[in-house]
Amino acid sequence: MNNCKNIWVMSEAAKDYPALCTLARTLCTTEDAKVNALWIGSTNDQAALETAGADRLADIERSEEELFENYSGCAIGTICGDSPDAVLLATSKRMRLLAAQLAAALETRVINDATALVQEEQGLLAEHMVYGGSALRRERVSRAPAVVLVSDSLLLALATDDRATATTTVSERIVSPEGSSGITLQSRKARTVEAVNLASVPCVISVGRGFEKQEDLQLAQQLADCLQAEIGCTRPIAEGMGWMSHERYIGVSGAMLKPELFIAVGLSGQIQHMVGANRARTIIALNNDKNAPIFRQADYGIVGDLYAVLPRLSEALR
Amino acid sequence: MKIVACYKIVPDAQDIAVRFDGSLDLERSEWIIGEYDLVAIEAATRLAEVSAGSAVLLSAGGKELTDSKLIKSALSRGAQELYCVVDQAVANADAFQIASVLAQALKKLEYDLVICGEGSSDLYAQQVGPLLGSLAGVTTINAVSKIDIQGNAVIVERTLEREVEVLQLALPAVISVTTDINLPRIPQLKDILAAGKKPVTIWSVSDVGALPPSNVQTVSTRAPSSIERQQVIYEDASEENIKKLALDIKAAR
Ligand SMILES: Cc1cc2nc3c(=O)[nH]c(=O)nc-3n(C[C@H](O)[C@H](O)[C@H](O)COP(=O)(O)OP(=O)(O)OC[C@H]3O[C@@H](n4cnc5c(N)ncnc54)[C@H](O)[C@@H]3O)c2cc1C
Ligand SMILES: Cc1cc2nc3c(=O)[nH]c(=O)nc-3n(C[C@H](O)[C@H](O)[C@H](O)COP(=O)(O)OP(=O)(O)OC[C@H]3O[C@@H](n4cnc5c(N)ncnc54)[C@H](O)[C@@H]3O)c2cc1C
Repeated sequence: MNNCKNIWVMSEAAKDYPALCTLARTLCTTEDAKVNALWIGSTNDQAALETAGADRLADIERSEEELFENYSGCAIGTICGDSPDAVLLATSKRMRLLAAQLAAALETRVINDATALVQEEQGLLAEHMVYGGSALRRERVSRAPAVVLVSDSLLLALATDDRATATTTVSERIVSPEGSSGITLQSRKARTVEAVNLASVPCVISVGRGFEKQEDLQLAQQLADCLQAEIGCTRPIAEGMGWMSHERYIGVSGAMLKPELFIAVGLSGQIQHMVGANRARTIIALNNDKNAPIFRQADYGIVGDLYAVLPRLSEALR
Repeated sequence: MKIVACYKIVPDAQDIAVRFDGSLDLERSEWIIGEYDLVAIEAATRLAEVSAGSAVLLSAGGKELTDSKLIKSALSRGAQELYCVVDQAVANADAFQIASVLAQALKKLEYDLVICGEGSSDLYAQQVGPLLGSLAGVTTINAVSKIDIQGNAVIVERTLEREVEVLQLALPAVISVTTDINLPRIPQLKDILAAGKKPVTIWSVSDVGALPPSNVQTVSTRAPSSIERQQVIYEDASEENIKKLALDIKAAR
């Protein structure tokens, strides 16, 4: 794919559009290339979307009570009908589904979780993690169109660049025909999402399956109090056991951190977890198995039972 | 209800070694069934039990797929039968190509519901389920965290980032389930022995259809550079060692 002059961008959240449009501009190969934004949602967001930097806004109106997926068909029809060179979507579960449906219609795969995306002589080049974070894979789109799910980290890095906002956006309202997704929405409830941003704290203690009971996590909390640290966890603690909120699990499918200090307690140090923490400046490990992989990735470690060590360590740090 | 669960075999990430130049050495990795695909198999088996229906398995991959240990491992978890598309061309196929092959294979099976895992253990694109549903032209949904059968209707709970939806699905449907929808069973010896007697059907790609072209090429797969670590390990939790560790922690803050 050497020519990229018609790009569509899409997200569930209006706030993602400026970064998506900025990214799209960097991929254009001609001056007159067009960046198009597609929106499924309330018209209340229109003003924000019109200043996001797109040349054109296609607005599919949907009221809050209706199932998003009943509008996917209309969105896909609109995008495919415009022969796009590339479609960029902000990553979320809904967008993963929509991206796949779009890709199926365009007879290609999705380039998922792209942490980098650049236009090169030979075509669009994307980067994303594979094998649980053991490796970065670089992939090139050899034939348009490209369907790309852009990772949060890439969007965040772009969000501050606002040179695209001078663009005038032409809006059009699209009325979706009756949805035929085969899905009926019966009810919906908000999820309680914990407002914690592990990525912004300098010291994180991560807990794993070495803890026997949920109450025992207070031992880690005591250490956290001494160090003004936040507590994170491995995926099974959040998803299997449900002892902590999903927002607190660290790793390839969870939070990606770069703290000053990372203390791993009762976790084995699998790559899927450690990839979210191995950029930390200092890593400390506590595990009762001296062969646990975590020790090979630590600056300082102690072999011992967390139940015996944690209270004494907190004491020593108080 | 007739249910199909899809699984993929993957190199065990624990054994992946990084070569000097940052490339990966998969030679020493054992092939295993994707960790989250076991969840899909379990969900299918349980639904077949409560609906007095059947659960069969479907997988596409290279010749490793027919390794008898892997087949027994797959069939020891409750499903009655296994269908495999085995072809070297599939071993290096991308998610769109895999989904196309699986969609072609599905045409040979009778089904009400197809269950995929959230994502494979190696590439974790979380795409095959949604692609498969779209290509098969049936109801498609992801992030399913609960499945209920009420008469002829399938009601699912879908857990998204900020909300939970309760949805009724028109059948047939392809769904992808979350990793915490169940805790997969651990097969007992008798299950493994019984698995050896269950029917296995092996197709080549040309038996089911054809492999479409891929529009994306892999340029390289490299381990990121890692940070050198001090590797000071205190081998026992004596009072003295705990004091030392406390000093190390203080120095690092
Ligand atoms: C596609 C995919 C994506 C994944 N994504 C993630 C992810 O983003 N994040 C994530 O965390 N995981 C992820 N996982 C799961 C990951 O592979 C591991 O299964 C998980 O991280 C292991 O969690 P753990 O270390 O808590 O448990 P375990 O591996 O069971 O380790 C427990 C450790 O505790 C130690 N221990 C036990 N008792 C004590 C004691 N009394 N005192 C001290 N130590 C003790 C044990 O020696 C052991 O090392 C993913 C898996 C897959 C397949
Ligand atoms: C050694 C090896 C190297 C490979 N190299 C490349 C490469 O370089 N580039 C490339 O694009 N692809 C490559 N592939 C193919 C690739 O791994 C996938 O099969 C395909 O991309 C599926 O995407 P995914 O693994 O992310 O699955 P996901 O979309 O994450 O899987 C979701 C779910 O779909 C189902 N599923 C997935 N795959 C299958 C399957 N094969 N059979 C049955 N059900 C399945 C499972 O239920 C799974 O839980 C390689 C495969 C192998 C084994």
